[in-house]
Amino acid sequence: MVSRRDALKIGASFVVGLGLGAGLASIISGRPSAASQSGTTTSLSPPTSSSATQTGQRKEVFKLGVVTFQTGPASIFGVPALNAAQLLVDEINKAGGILGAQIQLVVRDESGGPDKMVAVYKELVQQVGVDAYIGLISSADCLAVAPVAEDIGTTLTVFFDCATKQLVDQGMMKKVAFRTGGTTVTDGVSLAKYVLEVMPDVKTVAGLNQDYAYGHDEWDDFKNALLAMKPDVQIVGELFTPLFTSDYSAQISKILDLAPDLLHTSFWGPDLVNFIKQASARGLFQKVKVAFARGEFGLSQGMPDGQIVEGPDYHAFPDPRAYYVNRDFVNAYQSRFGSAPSYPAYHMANAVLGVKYAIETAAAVENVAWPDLSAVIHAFERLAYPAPGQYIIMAPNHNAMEGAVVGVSKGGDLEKFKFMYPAEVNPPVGVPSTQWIKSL
Amino acid sequence: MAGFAISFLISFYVFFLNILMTSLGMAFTYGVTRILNLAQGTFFVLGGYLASVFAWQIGLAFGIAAAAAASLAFGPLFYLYVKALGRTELEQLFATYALLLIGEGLFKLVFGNGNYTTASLADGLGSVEVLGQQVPYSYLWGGAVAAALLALMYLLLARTRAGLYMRAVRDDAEMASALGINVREVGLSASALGILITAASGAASSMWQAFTLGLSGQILVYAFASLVVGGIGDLLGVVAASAVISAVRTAAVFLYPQLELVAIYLVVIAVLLTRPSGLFARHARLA
Repeated sequence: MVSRRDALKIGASFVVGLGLGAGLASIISGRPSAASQSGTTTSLSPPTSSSATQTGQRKEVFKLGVVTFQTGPASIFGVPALNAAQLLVDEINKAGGILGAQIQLVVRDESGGPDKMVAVYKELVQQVGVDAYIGLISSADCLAVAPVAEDIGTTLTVFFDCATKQLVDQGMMKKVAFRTGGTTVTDGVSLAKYVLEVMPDVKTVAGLNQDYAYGHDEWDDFKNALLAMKPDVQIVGELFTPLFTSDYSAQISKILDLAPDLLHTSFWGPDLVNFIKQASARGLFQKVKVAFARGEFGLSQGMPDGQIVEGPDYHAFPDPRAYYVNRDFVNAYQSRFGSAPSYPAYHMANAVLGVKYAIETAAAVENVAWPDLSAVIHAFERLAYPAPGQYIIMAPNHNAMEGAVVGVSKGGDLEKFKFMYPAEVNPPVGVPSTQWIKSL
Repeated sequence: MAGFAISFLISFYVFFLNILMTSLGMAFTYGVTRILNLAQGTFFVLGGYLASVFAWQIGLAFGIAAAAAASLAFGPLFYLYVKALGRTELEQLFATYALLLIGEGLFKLVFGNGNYTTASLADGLGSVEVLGQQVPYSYLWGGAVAAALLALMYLLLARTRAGLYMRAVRDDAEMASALGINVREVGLSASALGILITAASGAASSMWQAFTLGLSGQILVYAFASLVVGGIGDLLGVVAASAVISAVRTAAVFLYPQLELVAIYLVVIAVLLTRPSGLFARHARLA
């Protein structure tokens, strides 16, 4: 006999099981189907995407895939970035789109790890048939997707934020992949140069960074740049904490004990907030000056005064009163989302505008109604264009020469901030970053 | 040397408090209802979110109390949800894990993607200086909250009729039921209390910690470590285990920081190998 309660239980488990099953199926199905499609791209027939539109033919709709964190702790960066994408797409569409084509956003969540991002990339490119792809905050995701994008080779692929220098140092962007932002080298070198300007007598330095590729890269690039420019600096401690640690009491005690002149950190998201709150409560900022790589986000989260903060972008630069591109961006963003745009929003703007200008430039150069992919790539490789945060100069290594804003925190803003010019804080094209940093 | 000792002691105490806060409610819930709650983090984070919202309107202490009170409603719902979906521990694990995912979705919907914390308000509490080191009062108040919760649980379990029922249900639910104890009612009230404790801990933790999306899963790591070491469901065991883990972690950071996480897991593995039912288990529990 099945009692009513058992029947209810069986029914409920059925529903839950169905949900779980459907969830699993959607995760798993992304891979094999995408993989089977990737086989077909090796044949001569073009894939079913709209990128197969014949050259010269005008487009009606331009599908733009955007992938960034919408869930999890990193959505603190992903949400402002997606906001910026929506804002700019709306404005571009209002002004007539890209060469008359209205942009249609196809948004995906970046959560799930590198393998999932490869599946999402294939889905967007081969099933949805996006005309261009913009995405990725996590360096691991970029490193996984870049070879796949180059291999498939059908779709303009722009990484908007991931900071890993490997993409450049290993020459991973040669065909369709581009990045419209700087690297950890940009962050480390600009921060080190600014530190030596405001603290020329700095003697002892310690580092507190997250224990994964990004944290180690940020620390190495900063440390090596500082040591190259001032060899008598002493590194007194190198601390690494697991990502999303909620308690830094032991590290704070240790730093107070080491008492260095300067502490370097590239914390982001909840880690940055927890560190700022816990270190302030323990009085660390009165005893040690801290240099924050990519610390702009902390300015709105109780950043104490007098600390050195690198952007990479900052909403008051270039001065909105003088530079209309930034003024319009900040005003529109503020009125729609209620706060000033943070640096991921600026990085997204670089990418969206880069795609638009590359296509428009290629069409003008080729004198066609719509350029083919190779013409767009040719144009993008040597493009320079105005973006809200700065003028973006693309280099033949498919990476932007991006400068960085560094300043001193005061009441949630930056003062005495300085723009480090792109050529000062990026290795010349073709020179490995480690070799270049040593030569500083 | 005194400076070193005091900075070691401060970080030991703070991390001890952190682990204790994340595992107390879980230990209590399991101890009485035998539900291993993977959604523990969800209620901890809920407490933190609510306290951060309330504290700005009605002040820090009232905000924390209000967050704990608001969570009371979720306890019975949680118990009914788990009991409706699963009889065996494995089924209950699935049910509570599903709840963790659902909770994350709801948090995103209700609270968005910001950082929620009462740290700026807690700054107003000031700090006391001990041998040249600042010790924020927020940690001391947090310790008081933890002590109060522990005392509450102890008095309830050891000194009241309801506590007697809870212990009876824990030891043998079938026998207790045969003796006329309403097992379902005991389960409902114990879950309500367990979740109240969890949410109150989360609310108090908001004085030094930011709450954000994705945290509900993260805090399980330390909670599990302390539950395994202390013996699952053993309240005093959990207190001692939190102290052991904190001491090991703090020493690791001071002496050899690369080993921070490894050291914690080594303790867990050592306990599992030598005393699988927890450091302080006096006798092996029947299943």
